[in-house]
Amino acid sequence: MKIDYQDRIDDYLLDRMTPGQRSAFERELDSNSELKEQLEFTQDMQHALKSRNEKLEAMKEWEGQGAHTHKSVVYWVSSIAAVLVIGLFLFPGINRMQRSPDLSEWVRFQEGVRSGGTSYATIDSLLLQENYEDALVLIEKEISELKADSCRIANDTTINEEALEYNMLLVDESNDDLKWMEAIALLGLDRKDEALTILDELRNKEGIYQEQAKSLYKLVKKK
Amino acid sequence: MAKTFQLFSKKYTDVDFVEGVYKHDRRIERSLFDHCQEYYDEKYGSVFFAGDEKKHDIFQESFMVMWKNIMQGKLYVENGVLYGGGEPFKAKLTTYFMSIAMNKFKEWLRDNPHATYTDEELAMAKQLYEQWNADTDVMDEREKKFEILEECIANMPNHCRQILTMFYYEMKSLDRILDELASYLSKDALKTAKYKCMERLKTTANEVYDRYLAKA
Repeated sequence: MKIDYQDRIDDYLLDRMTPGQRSAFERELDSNSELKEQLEFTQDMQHALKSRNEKLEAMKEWEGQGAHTHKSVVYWVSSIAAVLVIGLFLFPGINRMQRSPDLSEWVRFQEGVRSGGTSYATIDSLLLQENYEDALVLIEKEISELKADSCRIANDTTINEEALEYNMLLVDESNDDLKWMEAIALLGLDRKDEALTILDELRNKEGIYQEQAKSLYKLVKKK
Repeated sequence: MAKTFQLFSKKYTDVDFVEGVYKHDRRIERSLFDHCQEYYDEKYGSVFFAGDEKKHDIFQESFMVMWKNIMQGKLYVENGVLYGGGEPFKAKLTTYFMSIAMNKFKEWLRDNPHATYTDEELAMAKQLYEQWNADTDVMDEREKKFEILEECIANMPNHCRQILTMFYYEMKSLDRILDELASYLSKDALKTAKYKCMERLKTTANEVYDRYLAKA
């Protein structure tokens, strides 16, 4: 390897050459096998670094979510247990709950907060409190903000194709989350047909809600 | 953006995991990560005798190896059956994962000879690992060299990996790297360090490749 070659190889790979310089460099590659070999090694190394670091970034993200998820689960399971016990012994409205599916079992647990917006945890909290009207208002607001996010991402020319694909996947996931919460809120408000339309969409879509949507759809249809 | 946790989480089979990872399904990749993490955390204390920092490093490196092996088709699904090393895979994916982790741990043990362990299950895992990772499918020269290069990057000195990652992956200029890394006195010193790291990486990768050819 030669250090002089490396400077030019770096300029070539990192797109710092003028078109004229690039052409001259490419012509030199044809006749300089040592330069060509060093270029190939640098390209392979760059590719290996990219492969490794993308995996590391994904794993770091999952690790970060895992710890938060665990705490959220413990908190929400305890909250639901408390709500169910109180409901059973203190509130005569148990009959009303029996007329519709026990929605607290179906409420999804959310984690994370969207910058500048209301947390999904607030919506969950409203659903658990059976405050379906306020929950629906917030859900509709979140859906609207998500659509704006989606347009912004789609028009962002600074990110590469892989990042775009990944971001759109996250938008799709968030959209499913909101749809699920919307279905729960609508069921709570006895707007069964609208809820069934959403559940029908989710049960026919491959994703994390598919199985739950199938079960809840059947349950609601039976009532 | 908000992320979700599913109370009634979907259970994936090992076939689902391998198919999903191969197809770059992010949710399945994440599920496999959680699945292995849970198993690893449960087994770690009774199997490996290393500190928490090493525990995390071993897990991370092992998961990346398994991920890469699936992407390269060392584990694959055909007609709904999971194959590894050219044969139907009879053990669980978590066992395979632990065999990789065990090998990573053994590499660490070389530098820490006072730590010892015996475990029949791990001895079997070692045997299975070697069997499953046999190159029954011929990789072309470039693919094999690339695989070796990745492994060498994982094992190179931290300062080298840091400089090369900042320059070639994060696309930072030498001036910016110089600002962020206090240990280099000048841009020329940094450039020389970068070049030496690359030279060392190339030499090591070539040596490993020559040893591989000698064994084959």
